[in-house]
Amino acid sequence: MGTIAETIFILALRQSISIRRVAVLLLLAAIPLVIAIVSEILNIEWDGDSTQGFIQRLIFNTGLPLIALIVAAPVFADEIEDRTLTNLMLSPIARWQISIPKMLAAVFIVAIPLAITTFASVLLVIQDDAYSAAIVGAFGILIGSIAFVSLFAFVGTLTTRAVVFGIVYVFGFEALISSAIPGLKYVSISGNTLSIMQELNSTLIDAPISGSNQLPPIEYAIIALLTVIILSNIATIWRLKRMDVH
Amino acid sequence: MQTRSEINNHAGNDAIVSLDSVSKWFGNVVAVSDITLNIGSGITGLLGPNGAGKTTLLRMICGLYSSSEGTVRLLETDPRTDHNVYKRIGIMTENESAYEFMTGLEFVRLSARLKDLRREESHLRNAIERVDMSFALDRKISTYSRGMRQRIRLAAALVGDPELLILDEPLNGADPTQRLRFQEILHQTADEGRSVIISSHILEEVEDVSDSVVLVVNGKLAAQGDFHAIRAALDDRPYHVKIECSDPKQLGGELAKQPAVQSIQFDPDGSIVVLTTNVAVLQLDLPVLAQRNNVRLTRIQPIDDSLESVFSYLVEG
Repeated sequence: MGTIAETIFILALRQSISIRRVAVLLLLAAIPLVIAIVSEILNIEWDGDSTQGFIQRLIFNTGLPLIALIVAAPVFADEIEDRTLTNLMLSPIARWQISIPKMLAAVFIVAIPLAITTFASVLLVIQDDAYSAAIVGAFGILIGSIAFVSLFAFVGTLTTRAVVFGIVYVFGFEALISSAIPGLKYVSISGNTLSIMQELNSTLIDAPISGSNQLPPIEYAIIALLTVIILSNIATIWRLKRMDVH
Repeated sequence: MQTRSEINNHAGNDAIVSLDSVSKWFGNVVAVSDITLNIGSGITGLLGPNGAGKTTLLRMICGLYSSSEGTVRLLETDPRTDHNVYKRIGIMTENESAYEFMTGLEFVRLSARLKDLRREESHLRNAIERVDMSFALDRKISTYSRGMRQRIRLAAALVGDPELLILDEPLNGADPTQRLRFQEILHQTADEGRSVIISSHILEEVEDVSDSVVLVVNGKLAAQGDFHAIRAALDDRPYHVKIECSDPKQLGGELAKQPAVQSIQFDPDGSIVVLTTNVAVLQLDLPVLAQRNNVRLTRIQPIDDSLESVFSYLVEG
């Protein structure tokens, strides 16, 4: 017999893996790899700016938060909507035993395909020290996934329209505004994730893309991401304790 | 039957559920208003018309809703903070909240695992056999009929033999055979010394199973007490019954001779409206009279049998 955490983790995996959602997920995760493979076949040279644009804007500012949104926002929102959350809430388990396994299941679903395609893409795009850069790329996906999933899962406990909020956040803030307005990278999950990656491998995250902002310092980035992760999960647990379950 | 003030003074030491001045509102809408009550062991029916506040009340008792005012105690604990109480309780909510992608067996097993039960398989087998769902265990819940869903959800609530079962409108969607089986299960549960709280908006649904009844109208406690006392009060109440048949004049004439019939009125739509003081006798006599006079009955409808009118009668009467 599995533990309660394992039971809820597997339940959350099964809830998240519908055919349609997996298809969308794999399609989005495959985009960087397809671009990298096509560039390789066509012998397209990657200069510094295009490499950084590919990794920073396509993968970390847009792809990662979008996939995290698709997976994490429904983790609680769907259960509230279809009223299956009562099955968990009427069980003799602490609320963190519901939220943490669900969050980890979502991270698993987001990080595995995207870490694989990021790893392979970086191997194809980066010339120097490619293997190390690819590992850092996959690691960046993992930590970015944890932060985004924690945030979106919490929003999903507040509203069943979490996806709408998330789309505005991903395309409006992470993809556009945080790069355009000086200083906003400090409050961007992608920006702080990229900062940690830059510290680990400066070939992969070389410099700010032209017209983009400076990344936050590493110490700040670690604290900022930990704050997002911890506060989001505490807020989710608090919300589960306080909410009326319809 | 107890009035509200009597109930307020009846603080049961053995109460499995205790509500003290409990209210719940959603924005400007008051769903439950200042209810104080104790529910003891045995089978208790929570009755009220649709929208009376039964589900809100049950959800507060279960801990799914917080109370806006007042305190709720379930098995002497606060279910909002002491989640261990759910080990001792089986709950079936009103909504068909089962995971569609699971098989029936997986759903009941999930319930057992969440309760962290030892000897999981024996608990599973026991619960599933009680609701007669062994034949469809490996089918996905998405393929189940509404009645089958209710039964598998009941099995999930029964798993682990909880000392208290809380069932919100469990007979919705059940056919007569399933209802009978359901009543048997409730009697068995009570015979085993466990308690049941069952809600319904249909008086007859809980008539054969409940020892006592809690009546809720417009979010307020209308009455609480022994079911039979309430039933007796109901039986004395005059009923209007609308009858549609092939020969209203013939049947109306015969009905007028019956002692249980107080008055008869012929409606312009061709139906008969009978005022009776003994609806049970009328139910028995009507088919016999129709057959004897070669009249075909097409529709029999009690027109003031809604719980709301019953409650008004009880409370005001």
